[in-house]
Amino acid sequence: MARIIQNKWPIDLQKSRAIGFGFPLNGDAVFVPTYYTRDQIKANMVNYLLTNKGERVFKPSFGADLRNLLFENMQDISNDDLKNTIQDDITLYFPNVMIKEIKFNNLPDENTVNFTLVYQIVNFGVDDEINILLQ
Amino acid sequence: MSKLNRDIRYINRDFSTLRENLIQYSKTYFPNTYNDFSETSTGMLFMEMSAYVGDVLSFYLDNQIQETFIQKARQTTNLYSLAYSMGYVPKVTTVASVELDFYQQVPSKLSASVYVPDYDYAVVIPENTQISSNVDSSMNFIIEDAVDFQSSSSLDLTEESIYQISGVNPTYFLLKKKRKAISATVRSQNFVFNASKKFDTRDLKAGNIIGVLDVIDSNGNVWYEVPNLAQENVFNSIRNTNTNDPNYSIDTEVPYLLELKSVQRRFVTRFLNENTLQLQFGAGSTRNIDEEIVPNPDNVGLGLPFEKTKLTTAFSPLNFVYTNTYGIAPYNTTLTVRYLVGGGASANVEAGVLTAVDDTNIKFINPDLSNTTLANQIFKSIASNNVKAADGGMDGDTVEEIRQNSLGNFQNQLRTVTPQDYLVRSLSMPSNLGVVAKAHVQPCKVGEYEAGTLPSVLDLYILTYDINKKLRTASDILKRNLQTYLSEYRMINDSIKIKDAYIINIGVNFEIIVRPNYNNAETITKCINSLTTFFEIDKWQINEPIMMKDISILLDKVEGVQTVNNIEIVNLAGESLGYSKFSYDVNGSTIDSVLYPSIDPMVFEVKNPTEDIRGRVVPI
Repeated sequence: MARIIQNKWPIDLQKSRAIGFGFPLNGDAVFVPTYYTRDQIKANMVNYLLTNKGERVFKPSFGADLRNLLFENMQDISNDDLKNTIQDDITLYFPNVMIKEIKFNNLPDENTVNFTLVYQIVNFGVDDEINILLQ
Repeated sequence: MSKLNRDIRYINRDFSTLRENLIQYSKTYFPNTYNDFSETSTGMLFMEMSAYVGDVLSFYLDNQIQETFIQKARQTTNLYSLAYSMGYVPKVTTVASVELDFYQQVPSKLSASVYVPDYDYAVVIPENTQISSNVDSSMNFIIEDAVDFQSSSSLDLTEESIYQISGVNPTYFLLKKKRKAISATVRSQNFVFNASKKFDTRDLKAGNIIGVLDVIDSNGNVWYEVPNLAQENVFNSIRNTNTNDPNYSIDTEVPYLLELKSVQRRFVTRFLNENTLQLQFGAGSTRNIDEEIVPNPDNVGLGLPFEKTKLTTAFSPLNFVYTNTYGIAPYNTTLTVRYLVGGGASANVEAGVLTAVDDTNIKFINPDLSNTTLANQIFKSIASNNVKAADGGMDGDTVEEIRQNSLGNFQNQLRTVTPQDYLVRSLSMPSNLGVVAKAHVQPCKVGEYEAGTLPSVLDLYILTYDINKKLRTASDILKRNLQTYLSEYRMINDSIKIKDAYIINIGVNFEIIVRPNYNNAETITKCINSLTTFFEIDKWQINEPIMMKDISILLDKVEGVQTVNNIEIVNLAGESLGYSKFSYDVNGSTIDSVLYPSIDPMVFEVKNPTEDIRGRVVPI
């Protein structure tokens, strides 16, 4: 029976060979292995977006510094601002990722910044999205 | 279970190498578990954190090792601990020192038709008396040794001069003595002790602490500072009077007797940092006053968990049993600790400012003076002055100084092993116990073994000075003090016999040709002065030969001397003439222009340079 094979990096051609691990860290052995590049890129994006600058040892510029958004005026946070803010760093750390869209669903009364980052893995045409909730 | 045989590289120490090797390790041993080594991955986060922890641990490991060696240690507390372990006591301040002149008047009295000072009115200025600056009253100095105007010796001379006359007779004499003083202020602090506690400690907190002066408890007991708590004996010097020892109060050169005292109440001090001096006390209690524990098969190893394995246990003679050999622990008492603070560059005061003597503890040697009015007048005449500026005051040891001093101190070990050790130790005996002017150590000669006695291993030949700083043989009391003093330092298998070295008095006759246009008498005087300096007795050791060539060169350098024609050393002997009773064959002992000493230890001395050095000008 024929089946559709998802686009894979060469590294994930072997079924039993894990690439890394994703989120949340709630597997049987804490870590949940990822077997697809798409999943690993998503995990890495989450890791990057939820890291503030200065948190990573010996890499002070690593991180999207999104937590500072909580201290901005909600009305001032726009799609273009955020996109411009993180696009440069994303390009540096994720050369294969291009941000396509950021969808806001902020809840000012709950002091929550909620947005969905839509991106594309450039060379493979794979679209994916990440929902980020900061409060 | 099979044993994992994996390649672990122990030489990785810093973040980058640990990170790289963790990646390599994962690639090698977990190729199917993890493959994302990009820096954005969470797995790399954990690896880098592990590398970070490894780097920090490596740093602290390096740091701990570094702090273990005194050559590399940087932290002050560690340096202090290491210095103490090597026997060096670090200084947190350096005192300024100065020589003070002390004066007092005494009335005259008639003795054998001659007016002499009445020493009944002499006073004793006790040690640690404070002298303040007349410019800055907070700048204090103290004297380390008492000023006893009644006692006079070659090293501690009491100078007499007529202060006041009535007609042609002196009515008052002025006495003068010199004492070394250091910049220090005496402070005190009380420490309360309740229940007995083993190895109890108390901290003195102050800046520029010089050291502990004394410690006295509320019952008046004196607590003694010792280098370590295992040391039971301390030196104790007592005045050389009939009361103390009727057999030995015959030597005015030795005002004090030295004795060893076994002390229960003792403590050690150590600087924890620049501003904290810790006092630590012993572990025993006063219920058992006998502290002299003699090692025997029953008590060696007593109380130790390894008692049953004595056969292979190493014991220290200082610590073979857990008893109160470390001194007693104070309890239910209050200790009054007097300590000294001071020093620093500001203590280098100018000349002529140390004039305010604290007369609180000054006393007359004779307490039964009938004329109180005169006594009060005499008491008010006590004065002091520093002719020269104080110097030497500066900060404490730097880090490098602690290192170097500790390493240097470690070589000394407070033990006399080599002949040089005995020489220096003998010469370093405190002056109030007598002055050893010259010392020489050599193995005992077989020919000198006395029948019926055990031969000594070493013979220590000594000489001392008389009141005019001329050599003389040492008195029995001085030898006894030296014997007691050396007993704390000598090795157990060294037996020493203290003997008198021989004094050979000599004279020098020389002939010179004077350059034209130079005054003959003036040139001769210059030559005699040069030879006088050359033969100053401080510069000569026992068994040191005289190089005639050196004398010739010395004279040749004197301005006005054209040629040194002849130099002759002559022996001067005969007690009736004021010289040594021992004669010496100078000509027979001179070989190739070197005057050699005898086999028996001896020293050459030009006793009266003004008479014994004679020069003559001869024509070309």
